[in-house]
Order: sequence, then structure tokens, then C-alpha cells
Amino acid sequence: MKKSISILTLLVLGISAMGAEAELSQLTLSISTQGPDYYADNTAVQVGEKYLLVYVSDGATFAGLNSDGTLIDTVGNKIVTDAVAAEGAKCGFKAIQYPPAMYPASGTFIIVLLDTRDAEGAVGGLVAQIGTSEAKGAASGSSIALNSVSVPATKGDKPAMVASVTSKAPAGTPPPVITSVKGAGKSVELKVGNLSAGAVYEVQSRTDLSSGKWENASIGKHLQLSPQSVGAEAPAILQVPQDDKVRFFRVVVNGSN
Amino acid sequence: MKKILIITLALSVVGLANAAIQPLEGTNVVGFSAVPANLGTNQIITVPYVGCMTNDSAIFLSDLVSINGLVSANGEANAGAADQLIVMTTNTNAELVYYYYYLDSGSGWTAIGTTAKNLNGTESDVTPDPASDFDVARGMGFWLKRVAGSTGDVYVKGELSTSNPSTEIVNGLNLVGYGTAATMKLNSVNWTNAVSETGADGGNGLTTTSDKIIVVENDGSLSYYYYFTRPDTGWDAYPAGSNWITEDYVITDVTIPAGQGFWYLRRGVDVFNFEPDGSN
Repeated sequence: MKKSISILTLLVLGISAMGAEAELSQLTLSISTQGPDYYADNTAVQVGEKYLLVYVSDGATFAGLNSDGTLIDTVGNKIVTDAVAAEGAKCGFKAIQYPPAMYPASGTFIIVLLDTRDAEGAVGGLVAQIGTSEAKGAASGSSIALNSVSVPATKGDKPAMVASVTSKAPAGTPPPVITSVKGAGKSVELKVGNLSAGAVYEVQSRTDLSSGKWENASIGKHLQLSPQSVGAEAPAILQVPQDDKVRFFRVVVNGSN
Repeated sequence: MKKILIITLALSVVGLANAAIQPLEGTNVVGFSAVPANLGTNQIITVPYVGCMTNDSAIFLSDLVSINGLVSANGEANAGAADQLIVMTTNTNAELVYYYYYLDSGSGWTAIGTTAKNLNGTESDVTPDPASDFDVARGMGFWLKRVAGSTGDVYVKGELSTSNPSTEIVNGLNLVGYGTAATMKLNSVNWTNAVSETGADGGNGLTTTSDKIIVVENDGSLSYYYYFTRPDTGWDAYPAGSNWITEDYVITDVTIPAGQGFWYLRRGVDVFNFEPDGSN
């Protein structure tokens, strides 16, 4: 059905006079990133990865996310909307509109990139790490600008959006235990128990306990319970160098205190 | 010899016939207008034309803005990398809504679904009409949002209207323009309504109470102009009334290119029709 608009109907209810100045009853805001955006392991963000637009109230700072995707600061931070990554490892375009009173001009907006890769490396799991954009001030009702939060590809000589800050594990998450290990050569399978739903784990390995350091054993995969997991146990299948003579493994909880 | 005479005779007859035929003029005039629209800016453009062969009806959004030189992208997810048109309008419930369109590589101007958030925590989808089915009135303003990738003018196009523009201006913020294919000098057009004679409102002489025009410059900065009606007493040192002035009370005659829109903050209570060329 064709819709005709004219000045006659425009803005009669959409705009109200507030004292000497007028305010718009609705503001609009769009978000996007130029990309490519990255995970902490320097791989490009996968198509379908999740972004959030978060409003940070005046006097608050962005306190981060829990691994289940909820806000740590539920008073000073508000999730406004979400968006998904498109081809090119970037936040797909998303626009919203809202009443100015909903997100007062004293606060700011930020885009948050999530790393939700699960044990198989597919997006859609728990939140392992996050990255944030620079804050953009919210507009007032008298703003006549077309507002957006758009993130360039780089900041200085580095990517502008990298999910490198670890999310917080649920309170009371118990330490994980490795219940079995099998295989050798190119592939090792661990069984990890005492896992907690909502927590994200990293399997780490090293070849020498007296020197060097623990490193993540599998890039882009975060061990976590899945609907297919049996009890509080999940397998972790790891690729190791063919000529490995000795290797040690441990499991750590992401974002534990 | 006989052949030459016949040919000469034939040419003479054709010449006489041409002299007798009057040119057959078209019934309408169409055209383009260039509007400056620099990269990274949110230019406000307006509708100076009507739809071709529509008997002065509004023009479809998809037909209004020429895509020459504009930046397109493939698919809605990539709309952030494309030039966009954003229209502020009202829905069937008379609520203010924003309609987003992006320039799709294959489909031209394409609507983008957006989300409206409400104070009670609910959300609703905002689904714009297709650009090919959405018509906009002369004198209405909307945004052209440009992204990095090219420079220069954009072109609005359509059929030249045979009637004078008339744009209703209501109390509050109005996104409008001069609905003709000519440039507008702020102080050289008629700001009074021939019918109601309310016209632009000068308040009590103060810039805080008079009608205000806000122009978005090419670099994204804002310029403000105020309609000044000089009170009868005590204002002798000030410029002549019924003029647009700057904040420093200097008469200005800014030229607004055809196709460029502006914000009109109506502080006067009465609605008036902006009819710069007189009423029809």
C-alpha cells in the first residue's frame, strides 16, 4: 500500500515544544563498524558473531559482561540492542529509535564486541571475551543531528575493535578437574569435569614445567558445557605437534576472581 | 539537366514546408539540481520537484535522488558502508518514525527495517515502505548520509512543478526546504503567508523568542538565523524588521542551493504555510 507523507501530518505529534526550544519525541541512532574486527587470538570475527550497543549512565563506567552475556553493572549500564557480524568481520548495520528520556544525554553509548566461540569454534556460545569502542555521547531531545556510533577499521596502527577483555565467570564457579587423558601423537583428548554452566574454560598446555609459560592449547575454542554435555563433564580434543615428547595440560576458568 | 531541376524543386518544397511547421513543445520540463554533499556529513536535502507525468503529485523517494556518484553496498548488513537516505515521518498512528534507506548495489534505494524502543521496555519493528512506493511532498526535508568513498555533489531530479510551493510549518522543529529548482536567498523570499498573514514569527525582537532557521553547512557545522521583527520603540539602533539576522543582529542573506533543506524551528504558535513565491 502506498503511503503518502506530507508536511501537513509531519511532526504534529512527533515534536513538542519544551519551553523556548523544541524537542523531538524520538531520536534515532545507528551502529556499525568498518571492520575487520578481531578476536584476541588475532583471527577475524566470524559472520554471525554478536555485538551489543550499551548505554552507560552519567557517572558510571562500562563494567563488562558476565560469561552468560549479562551485564556486571545492571544499574549504570543498559543493553540497548544487539547486532551481528557480517562478511568482512564487521558489525552489521543496525538502527534504532527511542524517546530521549530513555537514554539521557548525560550518558554515553558504546559498541561491545563479544567472543562467543564455543568448544567447536562456532559462534553462539557463552561470552569468553569482549572488546569495546570509544564512547559516544548520547543526544538530547533538542538534537537535530543524525546520530550514529560507527567504529573505523583502525585506531592508530592497530585494529579498532578487538575482543581481548575476559568476561567474568559466575560467582562460586568451582575449579575444574581433568578426569582422563588419552591419545597421543597429533591428537589428545581430555575429559574435563566439575564444569559449571555459564562458565567458559580454557585448556592450556606447555612442554616444560620449569620454564616457559602456559598457553592456550586451541585457538578460537572455549571449553564450555553444551546441551550435549553429560553431567558436568565435557571432552576437549586438542591438536598437538606430531613430534611432541612431553606436554602438560591444565584447565582454567575464564574471568575467575 | 531535367533531374537537377526536379531535385531543386523538391528541396524548395521541403524548405517551404519546414518554414510553415511550428515546433511541437513538450508539455513538461524535467531537470536535475546538484546539492553539495560532502563525505562523512549528514546533508539535509529537500524536494524541489514533482513526479514525472504525475500532474504535480509528490515524487517517489526512489526517483528523487540520482544515484550517480553515490556509494552503494551489497546487502542490508553492509548498509553502513553505503550512502543512505533517512526520512523523519509519521506512521499510521501519527507517531514520529525514522525510515532508513541505503543504496544497494543491485536494487538501488532499499528500505532497512529498524527497531523502536519504548519507555515501558517493549520494542516494535519499524518497517519502511519501499522507496519505490513512498512519495515525498515538495518542500519536505530529509537526510542524505554519506560515507567515505567519493566526493562531490548529489543530484535531485524530477519534473518542474507548475505551481508555487507551499509548505506547512508547525510549532516546533520542521525539516523542510524551498520546494523549487531555484536557489533561495533567505531575505529575498516571501516569509508571510498570503492567506493568514501569520508568516515567520519575530517574537518580541529577541533571538530567543523568534523563529529560527538552522542550516547544516557542508562541513557539518550549524549556522543559525533568526527572524527579526523590530519592536516599535527602543530598537532604533537595530536593523530593519522582517529580515533574517544572525545572533549578532546583522541582516544576512544566505543563499541556500536548490535541493538543500534546513531546519525551521517554529516558535510562533500558529501554523503557517511557507509560500516564498506567493500563494497559488
